[in-house]
Amino acid sequence: MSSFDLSPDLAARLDALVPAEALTGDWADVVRRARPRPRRAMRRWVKVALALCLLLLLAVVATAAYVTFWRSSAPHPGALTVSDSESTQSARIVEVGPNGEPRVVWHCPRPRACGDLSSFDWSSDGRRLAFTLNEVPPFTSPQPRILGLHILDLATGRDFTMPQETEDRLGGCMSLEAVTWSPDARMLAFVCPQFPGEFIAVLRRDGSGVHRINTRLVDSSSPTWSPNGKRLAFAGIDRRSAPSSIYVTRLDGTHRVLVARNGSAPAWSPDGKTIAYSAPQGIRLVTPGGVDVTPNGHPIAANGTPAWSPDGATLAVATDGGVYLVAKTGAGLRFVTPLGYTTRPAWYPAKRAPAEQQQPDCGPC
Amino acid sequence: MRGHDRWSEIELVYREGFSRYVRVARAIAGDRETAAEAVQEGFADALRRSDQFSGRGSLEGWVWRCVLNRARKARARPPQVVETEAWSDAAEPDPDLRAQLAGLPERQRLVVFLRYFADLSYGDIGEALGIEVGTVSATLHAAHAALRTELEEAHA
Repeated sequence: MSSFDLSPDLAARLDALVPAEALTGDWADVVRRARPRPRRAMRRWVKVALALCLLLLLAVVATAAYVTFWRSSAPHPGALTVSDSESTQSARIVEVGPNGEPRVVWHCPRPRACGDLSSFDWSSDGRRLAFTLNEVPPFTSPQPRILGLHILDLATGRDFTMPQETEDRLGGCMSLEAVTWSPDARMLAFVCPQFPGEFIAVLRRDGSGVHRINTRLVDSSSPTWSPNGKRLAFAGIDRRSAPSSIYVTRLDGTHRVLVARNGSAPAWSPDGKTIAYSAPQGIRLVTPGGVDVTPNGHPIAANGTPAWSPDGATLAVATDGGVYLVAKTGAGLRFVTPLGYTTRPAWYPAKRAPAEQQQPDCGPC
Repeated sequence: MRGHDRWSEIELVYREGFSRYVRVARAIAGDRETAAEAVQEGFADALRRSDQFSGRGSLEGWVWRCVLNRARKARARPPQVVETEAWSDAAEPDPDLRAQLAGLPERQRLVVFLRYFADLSYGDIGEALGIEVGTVSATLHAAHAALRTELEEAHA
């Protein structure tokens, strides 16, 4: 007998152990069981719903934690803020206290990836921070760089980065500079340097509607908004190798007016009556109509990049030696910090806090 | 192949082999009610997962795997009814043989059940248990040897 066979006796005993029966199954019952059972399906949906609720709860807690953190480190209303990239080799913004003491109010979450903070500005509702990050040599960081124009919603932590395609639509930018909010916090203007020449572009705060402002000049830079948001003052060059001058134009590039020769870095005052700018001898004031109103005819501070305080009474001026404060009358010039000499200072809006003033989403701005 | 066609094939397997499925499931799970329930659930599993059948082996072997899984799970559960038949019957037939089968490793026991209660080919047994045909042959050989030896020793 082969070892693969059982003896007839053993096979018979095995057969008797579980006798064969002629049975008929219920196929309809099988099909019924195979279909999804409502209770099981419902249980699955309940689990999914619970998981979603848990995720939602976590998101709320995380947002609340972020907002709490942000509120704890937000600039004080009306505070002066400057870039601290120079001393730290990282993108950082500090609030300058009354005696010049710095307090960090924002820093790049990934310092080695951020590159250089070339400009920044707070929206007038205090809810958003716009900034530009640019590559600076040497390019040693192994991390992917997070460069470009960013719009950070301080209430939610959502960071919008202007896509590369948008820059490409503008014809490509060597870097992004001089970002500045419109007074209603719905639009931004920035500078796109190209070779040759640089130009001003604007976009809505949701990233749409980006377009170039055709000033019909060789170079256009340092935009600053009029208080009603309908015009821009900027520094422009009308021909190669000429010094820049201060111009005012509508957003479509028409009605361009020359308001001051030999000037740069204009800043439009909150009351709309004055434009501060940097002349070769120092900071001067001029009306949008081109009348020089510098007190006593003498520059009120060394040349640099001015920024008006929210009440329009004071100018912060970033110079090579640091940042100075001076009254618009030219009185009380004083040094406040050695930081922030490469970018325009920005004043945090007065009497408003992040996330407390929300504007409706930008429609057809 | 469309799902509807596959369901028709599985139905054919069910109608032609229901008794054999119940018999093997009963050998594994212990009583006819549990066995019939395991077969129904096993075929329902096969229908639900019919799109997972690759078509490389036999469909019957693949369905067997579904039924065996259900029967083994049913055995692992505590009985829900008082068992009155077969393995648990007070007048159990052939307790020696039952004891010897119960003492075999599980794979050997399943191969014996599929070979003698379902009359499956080595190929279908291999498909049902997820093993090679050669392994089926060796496992069956080992099971036979163990049963003969144990039973001869028991009668000696």
